[in-house]
Amino acid sequence: MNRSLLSRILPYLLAFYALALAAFFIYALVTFSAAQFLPSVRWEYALKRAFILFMDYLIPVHVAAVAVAASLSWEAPRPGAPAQPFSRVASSTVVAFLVLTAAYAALAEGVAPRVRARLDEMRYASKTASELRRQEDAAARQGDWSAALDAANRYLEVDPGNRGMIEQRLTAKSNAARQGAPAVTPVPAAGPAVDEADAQALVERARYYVSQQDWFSAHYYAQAAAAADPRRRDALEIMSEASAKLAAQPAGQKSTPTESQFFSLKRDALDRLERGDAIGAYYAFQALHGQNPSDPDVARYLDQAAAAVRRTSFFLDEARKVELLPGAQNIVFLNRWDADSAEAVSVSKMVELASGDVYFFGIEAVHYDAAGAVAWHFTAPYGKRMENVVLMSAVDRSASAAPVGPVYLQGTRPPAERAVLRLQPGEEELRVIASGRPALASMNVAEMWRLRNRLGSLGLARQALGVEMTMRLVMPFAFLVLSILCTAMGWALRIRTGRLSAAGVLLMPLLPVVLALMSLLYLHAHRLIIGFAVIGFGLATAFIALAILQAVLLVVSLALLAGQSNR
Amino acid sequence: MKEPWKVPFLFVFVLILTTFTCAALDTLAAWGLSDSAARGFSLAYAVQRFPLSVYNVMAASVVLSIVLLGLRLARQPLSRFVAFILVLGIGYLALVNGMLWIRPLASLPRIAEAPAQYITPARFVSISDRMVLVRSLSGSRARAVLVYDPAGTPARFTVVPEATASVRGGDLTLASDGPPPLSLRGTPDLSWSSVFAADRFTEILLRDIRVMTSDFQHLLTAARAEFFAACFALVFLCTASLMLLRVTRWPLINVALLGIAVRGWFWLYHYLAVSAVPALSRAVADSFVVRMAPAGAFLAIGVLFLLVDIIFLPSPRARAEGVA
Repeated sequence: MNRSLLSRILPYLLAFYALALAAFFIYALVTFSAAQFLPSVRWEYALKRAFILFMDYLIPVHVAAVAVAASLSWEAPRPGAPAQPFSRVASSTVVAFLVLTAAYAALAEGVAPRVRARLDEMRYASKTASELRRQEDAAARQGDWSAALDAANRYLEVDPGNRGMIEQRLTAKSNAARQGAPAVTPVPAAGPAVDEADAQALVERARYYVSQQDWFSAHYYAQAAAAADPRRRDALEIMSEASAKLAAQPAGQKSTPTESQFFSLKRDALDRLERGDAIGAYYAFQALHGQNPSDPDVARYLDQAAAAVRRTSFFLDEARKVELLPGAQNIVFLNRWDADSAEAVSVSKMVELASGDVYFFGIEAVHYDAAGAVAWHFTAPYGKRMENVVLMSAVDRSASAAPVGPVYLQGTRPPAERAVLRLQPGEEELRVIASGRPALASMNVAEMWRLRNRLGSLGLARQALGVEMTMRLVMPFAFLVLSILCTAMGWALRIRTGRLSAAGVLLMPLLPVVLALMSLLYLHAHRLIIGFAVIGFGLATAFIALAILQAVLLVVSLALLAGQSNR
Repeated sequence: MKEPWKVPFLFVFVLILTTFTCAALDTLAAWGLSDSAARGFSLAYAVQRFPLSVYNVMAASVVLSIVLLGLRLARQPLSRFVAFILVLGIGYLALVNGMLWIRPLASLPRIAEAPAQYITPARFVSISDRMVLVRSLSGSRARAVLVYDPAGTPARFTVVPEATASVRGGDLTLASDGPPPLSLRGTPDLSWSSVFAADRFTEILLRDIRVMTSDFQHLLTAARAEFFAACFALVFLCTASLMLLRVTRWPLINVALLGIAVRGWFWLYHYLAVSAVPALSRAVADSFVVRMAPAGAFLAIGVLFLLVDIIFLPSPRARAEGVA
C-alpha cells in the first residue's frame, strides 16, 4: 500500500530548496562585483541576492522537486492487497500545495519587493560612494583639503565603517585645519541651533544678555524663544527692546573705528535679516564672519541667515557637489492637464541623497493653453525639492552674485512663483518614469495599482504596468497549477524497477533546467494572453480572462492528477 | 485498432492541437507587437492572421508533436524500426505538406493607416528619439503638439499650435510650417509592445526557432529540393532523438534528456546557420554545400543516434517487458 505522497514529497522539497538557496548564495558571492557594490555590503548582498534568485527560480526548483519525488514514490502493492485509489494518495499533497502557494504569494508580494528595493538602495549607495571617493581623491590631489574633508564626510555617511576613508578623513581634517580655513562652512541643516531648547530657558538667556547689554545676543535668544513658542510675549518684548537698542546705539560708542564699523555692518545685516532679505543678510554676515570669525553674534546669525536662505533657495555648491552622483535620468511627464491648459516638465537628472534631499538638474517646464499658445516656458540648471515644490533659485555661498535660477524663454510668472515649480509626481513615480520596468520589480501589487492610477495623469501609457500587475497575480496560480501538473507528470513517469541508478542521480540536476525552460514558456504564454487582453480589452477584462484561464488550467491539472493510476 | 495504425491519427491529432495552440499564441504576440496600433483585434483579423501564424510555427509544432508522440510510444512501445519509420514518415509528410499548403494563405492584407492609430491625446508617444504629445487630433489635424527633443537647445520642449499628421508604411509624420516649424518623421515606438517581450531564456529559444523557420521558408520559395532535404534532416534527427526516452530506467530523466536535446537542436541550427555557415562559405566555393551544411549536420547526428539506439539500447518492447 502506498503511503501519502506528501510524506515523500516534503523531504525532497526541503532538500531542493536548501540546495537551491545554497547554490544561489555561492553564486551571489562568487559574482559579487566590487565595482558595483561596496565591499562592506558583500554578505548582505549575497544573502539578499540569493533570496531574490531563489524567488525568481522557485517555480522550476519547486516543480522539479515535486516531479522527482512523485516519480520515486511508487511502491508495488502487496500481493493480494488492494491498491489505494490515487486520489487518496495525492489528496494531502494538493492541500499542502495550497498552503505552499499561500506562502509563495506572501513571500513574492511581501518580502521580495522589499529585498529588491534594498538591493537597489545598496547599488545606488555604492555608486554614490564610488563617486564621492573619486571627488575626495581629486580634491586631495589638488590640495583642496576642505573639499576633500567634505567628500570624505559624505562618503562616511554612506559607508560608515570604511577604515581607509576614516584615515583619509583624518588626514583631510588636519590638512584643512592647517590651511587655516574652517573645514566646512558651518551651516546648520535648518533653523538656529538653539531650537531644541525650551522657550523658558531661551528667554532667561535673553534676559541675561539684556542685563549684560549685549543686545545682539539678547535679540538672538529672544527671537529663538519666540520661534520656539510664539505665545511668549516676553520674548517678543525683549526682541523689540533689543532691536530698538541696536538701532539707537551709535556705532561710535565702540572703542576703535574698526569696531564701530563692524558693529554698524552687523546691525545692517541683522536689519536685512529681519526685513526678510535672507540672501542679502547671508552675504553680509558671511563677510563679517570672514573679518572676525570669533564673533559669536555673527556666527549665530550667519547660521540663521543660512537657514532662512534654505527656505526659499539652496546653495549652489551643494547642488554642484551631487551633480555627478548617480540618479534617474531623462524624466519627461505631464505635470498638469486640464480643459484649458497643459504643463509638461522634463528633468535631465534627479539625484536622491541618503539624507532625504532630492536635487534636480536640467529642469525645463512649459505651460501652454488648449490652442498651443505658450504662457510660460523656462529652463533652470538646478533645483532642490522642498516638500512638494522644487526650488530653482541657487545661491552662491562664497560670492554675492545674483542667484542662479530659471531663465524664462517665453512668458513669465508672478515673482513669488517664478523660481518654484510644484511637481505632481513623487520621487518614486519619477523613478518609474525614468527607468520603467526595472523599478516595478521592487513594488508590490498594491503599490503598482496606486501608481497605475497616477500614470495616466502624467501622460504615460498604463498598459505595461497593467500587464506587469496581472502577471504578478498569475504567479501564485502558476505555482499551484505547475505543482499539480508536475506531480501528475512525475507519477506518470515513475520508476517501477529497483532503485535509482547512479546515472539517474548524476542526471538529476538536468530536471530543474528542463522544468525551468518549460515553466518560462508557460509564463510567457500567459504574458502573451494577458498582454493581449489588457491592450485589446482593458484591465477589467484581463482580470476576468485571467480568472477563467486559471480556473480551466486548475481543473485540467487536477483532472490529470486524478486520472493517474496507482497500479 | 492495432497500435501502428493508431500512430498516424494520434500524430495528426497532436499536431493539430500543438499547431493551433502555438499559432494562436503567435497571433496574439504578432498583434501586440506590431499590429495593435494599426488595427483593433477582431475575428476578421484573427482569421486573416492565423494562416501566417500557422506557417510560422509549423516547424516547431512538428518537432513538438514528434516529442509528444514519442512519449506515447514510450508507454505503448512498438517495434523499434516500425516506430522509427512511422514517426519519420508522418512527421516528414506533415512538415512538408503543411508548409506547402499553408504558404499561399500566409499573408496579411495591408490596411489603411491613420494617425489616430498611433496618437492618443494626452499620452506621450515616442518617435525616433523624440516624444510627442498632442492635445487633440481630428483626422490628420493635430492641435497643440508638444515635442520633446532630448538634444534640443536651448530648449528641449517645443509647442506647435497646429500640425498635419500622416502615416505611411508604419512611419508617422508630423509637419507644420510654424511658427515654430515642425518636421518629424519616424516609426512610433509603442509603449505597450514591451509587455510582449519574452524573458532572456525564452527569447533565445524563440530566436533559434525563428532562424530555423525563416530558413525553411526561404528554401521553400527559393530551392524546393533543398527544402525537402532540410525538412527530412530535421524530422530524421528528432525521430532518432526519441531513443533518449530509453537511455535510462528512469522515465522522468529520459524525458528531461529528450527536452534538453530538442532545445539543443534548435540552438545548433542557429549556431550553424548564423556562425558556422558564413565561415564555411569563405572556405568552400560550392554554395549548395554551404546551404545544406546545417541539414547535413542534423542528418549526421541523427545517424549517430540511430546507431547508438541499434547497438547499445534494448528494444522498446524488451525494456517495457523488463519494466513490467
